[in-house]
This record gives sequence, C-alpha cells and structure tokens, in this order.
Amino acid sequence: MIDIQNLSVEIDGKQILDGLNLTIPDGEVHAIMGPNGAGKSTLSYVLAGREDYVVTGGDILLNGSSILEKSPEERAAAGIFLAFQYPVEIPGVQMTNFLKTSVNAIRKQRGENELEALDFLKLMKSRQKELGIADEMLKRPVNVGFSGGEKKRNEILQMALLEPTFAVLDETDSGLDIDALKIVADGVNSLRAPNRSFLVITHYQRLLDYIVPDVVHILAKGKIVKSGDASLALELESKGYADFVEAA
Amino acid sequence: MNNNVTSLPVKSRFRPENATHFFDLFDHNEYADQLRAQGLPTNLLERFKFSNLAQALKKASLTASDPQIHLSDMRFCAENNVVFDVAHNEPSLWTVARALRGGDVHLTFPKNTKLDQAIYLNWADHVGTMQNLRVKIKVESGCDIIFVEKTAARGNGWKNQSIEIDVAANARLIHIRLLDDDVASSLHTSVIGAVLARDARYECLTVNVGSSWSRHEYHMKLQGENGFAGLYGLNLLKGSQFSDSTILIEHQAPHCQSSQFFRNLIDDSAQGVFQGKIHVHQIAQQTDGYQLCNNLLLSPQAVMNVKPELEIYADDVKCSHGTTTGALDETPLFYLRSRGIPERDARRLLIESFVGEVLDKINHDPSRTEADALIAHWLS
Repeated sequence: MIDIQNLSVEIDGKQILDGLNLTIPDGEVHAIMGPNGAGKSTLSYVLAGREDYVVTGGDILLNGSSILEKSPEERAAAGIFLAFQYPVEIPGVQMTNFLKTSVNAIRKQRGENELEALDFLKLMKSRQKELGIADEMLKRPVNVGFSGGEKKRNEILQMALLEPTFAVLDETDSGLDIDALKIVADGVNSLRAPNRSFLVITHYQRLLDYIVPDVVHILAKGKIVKSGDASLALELESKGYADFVEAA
Repeated sequence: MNNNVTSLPVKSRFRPENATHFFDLFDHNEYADQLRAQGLPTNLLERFKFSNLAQALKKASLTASDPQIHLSDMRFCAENNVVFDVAHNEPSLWTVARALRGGDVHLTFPKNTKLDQAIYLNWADHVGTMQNLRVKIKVESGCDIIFVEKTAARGNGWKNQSIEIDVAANARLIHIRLLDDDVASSLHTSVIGAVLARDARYECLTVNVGSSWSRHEYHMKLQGENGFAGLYGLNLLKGSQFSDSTILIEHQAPHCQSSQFFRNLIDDSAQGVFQGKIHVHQIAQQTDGYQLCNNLLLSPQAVMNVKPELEIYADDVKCSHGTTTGALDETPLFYLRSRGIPERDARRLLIESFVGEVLDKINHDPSRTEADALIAHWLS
C-alpha cells in the first residue's frame, strides 16, 4: 500500500505540490488526471526519487515505512516502478544488457540470487512475447531509434521484468495510436494482481477505457481536488477541468 | 582591411632559449639547425595554441637512446621512399622528428597484401631516455592491413615519433594505437601524415590513457577521388595529465569523405585539447567532411579546450562539426537508477557507453579486448 501524506514539493524554489494526500491500497488501480502544470509529472518523479525535487513537507509511506530517505535504486528494490513519460535514450548501452543489469541489481539488493544469462533470457523471452516486442529491438541501444510506441512498450517490458509492488505510469498513453495503446493497456492489465497497485497518470479519459481504474483523482494546483469512481473521468471529458481548477 | 597588421618579429614568436638542453640530442642536419635557431614549438604558434612543448620539456633531463621497439612480423621491413611533404617554415613536430637523433622503421606492403593478423609494433621501455622513432609505411594498391602500435612504459622518458603513410589506390590501412605510458612523468609526441590515393581508406583509432604530457597530430591528404580518412580518438585523463589532439584534414580531390570522432574523458585537474580542421581545396567538390568531439568532465577542475575549424574553397560540399563539453547527464543517470542500478554502476555504465561508441568505429577484436582492459583499469 502506498500512502502519500500531506506532501509538499518544490523545484528551483517553486512550489509544485501543496499538501497532497493520496492512499492506494494493494491491488487497486488509481488514475490521476489534471491540467498541464498541475504537478502530475512532479508527483511521479518524487515517488521515484529524483533528486532535484525537494520535499518540503509531508511523507510517502510504502507498506508503512517512509521512502523519502531512500535513493532511486533503493526505491526500485523496495518495489516502486516509474514508467517514464519520455523514456530516456542511452546510446551505447544495449537493451538486453541493460535489462539484465537492472533485474540483477534489484535481485541483489533484495538478497536474491542473480540470474544466470540463460535463465534471464528465458524470463525476458516470455515477457517479450506477451508485449509483441521483436528480438531486433532488444539488440539496439536503450530507446535509441525506437518509435513512440516502442518506447512505451519497452517501459512496460521493464515493468513486467521487475515485478514492482507499486507502479506509476506517467502519461504512458501520450503519443500512442489506438493499436499501440491496446498493447500497452493489455500489458498493464496482465500485471494487475492483488499485491500490486498502480497509479495511472493521464490527460485523457481514453486510456481509462482500457485500464479501468478503481478510483479517479483530479489533481489541480498541487493537490487532489476531487476523487470518484471511473465515471469521474467521463464527467471530466465532457465538462473539462475548469470547474475543478476553480474549486481548488 | 587593416594594412598595419604585421607579423610578430621572429625573435618573439620563437624562443630558442627554451629547453635548449635538448639541442644536444639533435642530429646534424638542416632541421636541427632550424630548431637551434627557432627553438622548440611553444604556444606562441597558432597550431600549438594550447600546448607548449618547450615548456613541457623544460624540466626533463634525458639522454638519447635508440627506440626500443619490437615488431611482430618482420617480413615487410623493406625500405621505401615515402615522404610526407610539409612546409618547414616554423617549428613543428615534423622538424622535431627529423632533427632529433633516432631510429627508422620502414614497412612496405606489396600489391594486394592481405593479412589475417595485425602487425604489432610494441614500443617498450624508455626510462630516462628520449627515443625518436621515424616510421614510413607504404601500402600498395589492393592491400588490406591492420597495424597496431602499443606503448606501456613505466618511469620517465620522452617518446617522439613521426609516421609517414602512403595508401595507394584501393588499399586499406587500419591503424590502432593503444597508449599506456607512465602517467607520472612521461611525454609522448607524435605526428602522423597520410596521403590517400583514389578509393583508398585509412582509419586510425587512438586510445590514450597514458603519459603525463602528450600531443598527437594527424595530417591527412585526400589526393584521389573517393578516398576515406577516419580519425577516431579516445583520451582518458586524470591527475594532472595533459593531452592535445590536433588534426588537419586536407581534401584535395573530389568525392572524398573524412570523419573525425574524438571523445575525452577528463577527471581531477587533467587537461584535454582538441583542434580539428577540415580544409577543402577548390577542386574537392562533393566533399563530405564530418567532425564530432564530445567531452565529459568528471571533476570541477577538469579542463577541455576545443577548436573546430573549417576552411572551404569548394562550393558543393557537405561539412559538419559539433562539440559538446559537460558533466555526466543526470537524466539517463536517474533513468538507470530508477531501474534499481546503483549510482556507481549507473555512472560506470554511462561512461563505458560514452567511450564504447568510439571503440565501435574499428572492428578488431584483439585490440578491442585490450582497449576495454585499459579502460576498465582506468575506471577502477
């Protein structure tokens, strides 16, 4: 369970999150929608531990213990995963090598045995197939020359390999056509499990047709201004954000 | 136009008083006479803007010795008449190589020589000595040769070398340099001049982790159509090391390509220099010249000086140059860490990828293994 309590965050002296509260129980999928500049991406970066975001108040608890003092790699080992809005290109680092390094780094931190090359390949193949990822893509450097859809599928592949307990999807739908969106959504849905929760950040209701959330929150001016069930997303789609932003 | 501009008087441009103790190591020839009059190169010369050889040698006390080299394959040691033609009106590494006492190695590869194995030139110890090696390589048409130079000397010393190369039509020479001399107190200066004929290909990869002070010059002349010159360099510098890579590529024929790809990784208070110039002569239409220099500074005291130059007299050419200098990018670092990879390992992965892209330019597995080992040692 992830429990965000009264979280305030600044970057470069500018307040972005202002006393945000959000609790996501195990097994649930929550969606956050909100206008540009509401603080959606900031929330995702702060959860993953990016250092240039300064937490000025509040706390983030994962299964009851604070993660604020943990480094990004420690959070990953604790089970937090961020699917990036803009996955980063890393020339010169080959996909397979990156994935293996990542899986084994997490296993090592958790005190588990590192996977041998062959066992890792087996694991990768099974996940890769489900997401329709070609072998050729895994021979390339990380995200280099990938299409928008390939980059997002790659994020989901990493999620499938790392098996997090809490995954944040930051605008994973942006820039995807409907076919790519379905593949990504199917990938996410197949990972839904009683011991895993998701935070889906999006601009658009469309994604939520495919990944049906338990709760929808509206984020405006750095805090949650309204929460409701999946129908809230539809309401937003027809009415726009203006009313909710005013209310904040 | 200002007609009052006059060049500096000879006396102040050259400083013959610098490092004069090295004059004892000179041969008796016109080049020695010239250097006695003009002195060793200093940063008063534009091409030595960032490096001062006379200054670097000031405190060195060395005796001349024959170059201590070992060649893996003696079959091609045959005299040739290769001469790289340059002007000698001011001090240069060419004049230094010709003025200093030294040894000569000539390699001549007859028509259509194709070797399965690379030819290795190992340059062993130099303790307390100045060693001057003049190499001439003649690659006749249709050859396919890999030539690897290695240095790994401990202790103080000065290695100076000139390499004159002639690559005939449709021949290919791959030249790999793995330089790992003592970082505390050794100097390395080299100048490579290559003339490429029609359809010839010369590629040089320099991997330098050694020497306290080094300067490596490359001068290419593309004289036949469809030639290709590729210069790739990797300098990994730490402590108070200094290394200067200075390049001049002359496109003297149409339809040639050249590519420069250099990366410097600089830690502590080390200093790197990159000066790369593409000179496209009027006749050299359809030239494709490319230059890229990326530099990673790993410490606030690290210094990198970069001077890209294009001099173009033809009107139908494609030339590009680019350079970046900065610290390791935080965004990919965060991406890797968010996937559970510890910061130290993530940094190393990014640095390895930074240098790996230069090494990828040349496909020679034994050298790649050795280069990877040099880099791994540097990073450890």
